[in-house]
Amino acid sequence: MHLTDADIVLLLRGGLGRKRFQSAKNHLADCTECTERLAFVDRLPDFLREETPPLKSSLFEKAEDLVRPKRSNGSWLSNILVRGRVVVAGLAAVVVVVGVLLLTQEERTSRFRADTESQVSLMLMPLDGARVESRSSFYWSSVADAYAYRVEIFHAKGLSLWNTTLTDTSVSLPATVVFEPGSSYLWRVEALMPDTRIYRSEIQKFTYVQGGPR
Amino acid sequence: MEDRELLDQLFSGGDASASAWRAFLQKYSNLFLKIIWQFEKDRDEVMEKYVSVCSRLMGNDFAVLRKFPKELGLKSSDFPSWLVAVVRNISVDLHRHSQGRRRYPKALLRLDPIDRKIFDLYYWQGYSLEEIGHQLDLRKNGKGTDVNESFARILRMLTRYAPRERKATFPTSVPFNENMFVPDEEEPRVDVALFDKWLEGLPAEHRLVVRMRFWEDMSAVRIARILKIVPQHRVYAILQKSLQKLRTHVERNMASN
Repeated sequence: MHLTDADIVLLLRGGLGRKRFQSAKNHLADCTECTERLAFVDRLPDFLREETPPLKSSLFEKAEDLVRPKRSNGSWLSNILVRGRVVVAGLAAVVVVVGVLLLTQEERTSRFRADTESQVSLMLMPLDGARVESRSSFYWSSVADAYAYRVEIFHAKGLSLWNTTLTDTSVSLPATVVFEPGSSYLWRVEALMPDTRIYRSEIQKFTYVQGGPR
Repeated sequence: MEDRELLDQLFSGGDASASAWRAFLQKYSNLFLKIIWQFEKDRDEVMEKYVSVCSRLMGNDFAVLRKFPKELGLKSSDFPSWLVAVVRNISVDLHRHSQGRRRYPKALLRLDPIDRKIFDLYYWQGYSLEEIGHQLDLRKNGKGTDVNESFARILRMLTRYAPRERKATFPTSVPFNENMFVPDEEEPRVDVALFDKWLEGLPAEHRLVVRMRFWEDMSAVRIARILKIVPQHRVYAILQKSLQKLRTHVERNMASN
């Protein structure tokens, strides 16, 4: 019987018990396939080092789309009712949006942002494109009347890595936030106003380079 | 995010599962590509296989990935290695025609063409070093590659050093001879019966060391560590002894013919 993937991993890191180790060795002596599998897994550090042509973004999206949030598994009747409600809600939303647009034609707001959110020119440190050598603190200029600031750090592809809300204009990252050396990250600050408006800074990019304490 | 945590989220279903899948792909897509590149040579083919690998991993509610937490003795830090094994299996499965093929030893493929020819003539065909020198027209006019030097180099390389670091070079002083030429594109043929008989005659541990060193091109140091062979230089002794046995085997074979 061939070795399992777990056997191979354990054998490579010396985690097999004596009896299993001996029987794995005996098997490998006569099994070309398993020896090949073993040697292949042993090359993991090489794989991590090697450069390969990048993945097409459309394929990443295709792979990503393989897993979508699950929908309810109700009966056909409830599905129809749910769909019916969605259609009605959609129509109502369209009517409201058209009405609002007609009433506030002189003030055009972005279709992608709520009225309460708007861009603000905040001075941020580290600056856009900066190379960060240590887990230095993040600083930003204050916004008059803001009662708090929300800081968010993202992976380069947009996935949220960490966020916090505080009243200061600087923050030191907790030890739980780990940067990969050589990787780029994005960050921004939102100023929270007493009248529920939110001012967002522009997104800044920085690259973490090893050289200082992590 | 730690792998265990990532897997827990992945298996939790709903929105959390979808975002964990995205994080999983961001973390491991490059590794998948590197593995698939080992089996495919065409970029479009690689990209197509990438989606197939992802489909297999998430299929049937992540049935493949769900096996990891159930594997006894594995730690969270073993996940990348385990994933390599799993994705390799899927890639091989997707690239079926690569299976069942008798492979030429990788370590020998890394020898330069003359050294490989000398190895073939000495170990597979039973020629003496003098005959090889004569056949390959070496030491012509007192110059060129000395077959003894070449032979010593082969032994040193195969038994002691990791040849990955060595670049193959073609000696410039040797005139071109088509008998020596081994085309790079085409894999040399291997005498299957001879290989099998040679290996059958070796003790189990020696067979394994020979497979790992010659077929899989793993370094002697790595082999010693994985197989817990102490002291490390016992691996060199095993390799040299095994090659001697191969030579004896070929000589006997020739005598009986």
